[in-house]
Amino acid sequence: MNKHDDILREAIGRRGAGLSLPPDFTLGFMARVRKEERRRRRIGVIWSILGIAVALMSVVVVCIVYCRDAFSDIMLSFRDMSAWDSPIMGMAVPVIVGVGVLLVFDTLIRARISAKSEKRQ
Amino acid sequence: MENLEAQIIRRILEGDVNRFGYFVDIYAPKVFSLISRIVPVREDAEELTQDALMKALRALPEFSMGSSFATWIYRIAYNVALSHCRRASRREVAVDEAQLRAVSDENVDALLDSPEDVRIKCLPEALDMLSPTELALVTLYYYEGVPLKEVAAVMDMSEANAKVRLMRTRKKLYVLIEKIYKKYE
Repeated sequence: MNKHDDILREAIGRRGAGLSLPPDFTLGFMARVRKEERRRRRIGVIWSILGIAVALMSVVVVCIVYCRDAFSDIMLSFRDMSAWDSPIMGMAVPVIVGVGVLLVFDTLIRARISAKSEKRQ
Repeated sequence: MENLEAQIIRRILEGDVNRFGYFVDIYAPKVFSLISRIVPVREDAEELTQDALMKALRALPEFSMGSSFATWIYRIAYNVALSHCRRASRREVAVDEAQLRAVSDENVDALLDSPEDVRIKCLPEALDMLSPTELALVTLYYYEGVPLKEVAAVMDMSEANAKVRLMRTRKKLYVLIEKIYKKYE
C-alpha cells in the first residue's frame, strides 16, 4: 500500500464523513418492499381479471354474431316478440350471468391464493 | 457467489421477498458509502440507496448466479448515482488534455505521497470538482478497496481502460490541487 493510497482514502472518507444510514434503514426499506409487492400483486390481479373479462366478452360477441346467422330463422319467427324474449337475448343473458359468476369465482380464488402466499411469507 | 446468497436469491425469486432483508443488511452500507461519496447530501444519498436496492430487487431475475453480487449491486448503485447527477447537473470541472499530458506520474506521486505538503489541504476541494464517474472510480478503488478488475466491471469498461481512467483522474487531481492552491496563495 503506497502512502498516496492512504492520503486519497482518508480524503475520500472525509468527503462522506458523518453520513450514515439510520439504524432502522432495513426495517423501513423492507416495509416499502412489502407494500410495493402487495401493490404489484393487486395490479396483476386487476389486469388478469380485465384480461379474462375482455376474452370472455369477445367470446360472447363472436357467439352472438355467428349465432345470429345460424338462428336467423328462429329470429324471424320471433321478430314480433319483445327484445327481452328474443333468442339473442335469451342466449346472451345466461352467458353474461355465467361470465359474472366465473369472474366472481376467479376473484375469490385469486384473493385466497394471494392471502395464503402472504401468510407463508 | 456464495452458496448461501444463491439459495437466498432462489427463495426471493420464488416469491419470498422478505429474504431480501439479508442483502439489505449486508450491502446497503456499501451502496450508501459509494453513493454518498458521489452525492454527499444525506437525504439524497439515502433515497438513492433505497432506489438502487429496489432496482436490484426488481432486476434480480436477470442476475447471473455465477457473478459477484457485490459487483452487480455496485453497478446498479453507480448508475443510479450517475443518473441523479445528470438530472441535478452536478458541477464538474474539465481539465485540458494538454494540461494532463504535461503532468508526469512522478509529480503526482510526489504530491500525493507528501502529507506534510501544504497543497494536500486542497485535495478535498479538488475531489469536489471531479466528475461522478471519476469520483466513483477513486471511491471504489481507493476507499472501498475494490480490485481494479471489479471496478472495471462495475463501470462497464475494460480493465485497461479503468487503469488509464484512474491515472488520468490522479493527474486531474494534481492539476486541480495546483489551481486551487494558486487561487488561495
